[in-house]
Amino acid sequence: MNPQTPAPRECTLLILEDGRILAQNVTPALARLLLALNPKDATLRQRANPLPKP
Amino acid sequence: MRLATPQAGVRIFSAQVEVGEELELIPAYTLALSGCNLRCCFCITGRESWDARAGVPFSAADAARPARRALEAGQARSVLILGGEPTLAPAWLREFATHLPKKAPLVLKTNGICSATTRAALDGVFTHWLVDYKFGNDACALALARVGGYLAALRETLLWAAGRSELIIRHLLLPGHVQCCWEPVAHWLARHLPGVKVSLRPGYWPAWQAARQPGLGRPLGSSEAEAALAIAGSAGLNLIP
Repeated sequence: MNPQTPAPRECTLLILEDGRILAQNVTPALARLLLALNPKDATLRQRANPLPKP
Repeated sequence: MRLATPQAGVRIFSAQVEVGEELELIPAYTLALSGCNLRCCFCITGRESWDARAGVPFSAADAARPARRALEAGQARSVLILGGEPTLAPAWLREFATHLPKKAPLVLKTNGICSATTRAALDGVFTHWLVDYKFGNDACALALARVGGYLAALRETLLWAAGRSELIIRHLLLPGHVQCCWEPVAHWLARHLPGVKVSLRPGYWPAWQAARQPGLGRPLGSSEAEAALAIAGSAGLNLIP
């Protein structure tokens, strides 16, 4: 068995010709980047700043 | 009940904290197991999901260690196991859960195509079942995921899971399949699981072998997303972000 930490997945973006941006495997860092591009997106704001319960 | 040998053949192809899942679950420490029992042509992780030999073998204890750390450090609210199809490794999942804090939200992300024996083996292991309801009819399931008897098998799992855990049903909107897939899914949910949490996902990505299927080589249109929301509204579904 492998004692290492499993490898992280790549985060990938797809920018459509109509300006929509699709994202896969969104990490907190990527969510913050996307929020900078679209600061009015309320759902994205929640993803960029999720508050874990203790 | 006879279970497979723990850890046998379980491989992991990714693990990281993610925030793309349902809001009530994020941030989630996600762990993706290689291998799947479906062959969805649009699978976003098709190479690893279709190949049970992809990734790296991990014992349940080793895989749980970073998940536990993420929970304890406040980096994750939940631990989410996906694939591939994780229900192919029920014994490994049971052991994995024993290495996490008892009250930690533990989410099984599954396509729902599993046997009654597997469901029984996983009874009480997960706090949440996050089940994909991908297709609204058996013909689309056969054409796009090469699975027969899809609806009967999937619905059996949904009705079982509804009584045993927090259930969230996810539907990825497929271009050209709003009427044939989403609409019957919405009506079935309204009738058989009223009030269940439904996560409607508009972010279809034409990945893997999708372009081989007529109509799936493009993203979802805005009008299709609007039509899908209207169907959800008329069915009275409990949509969650």
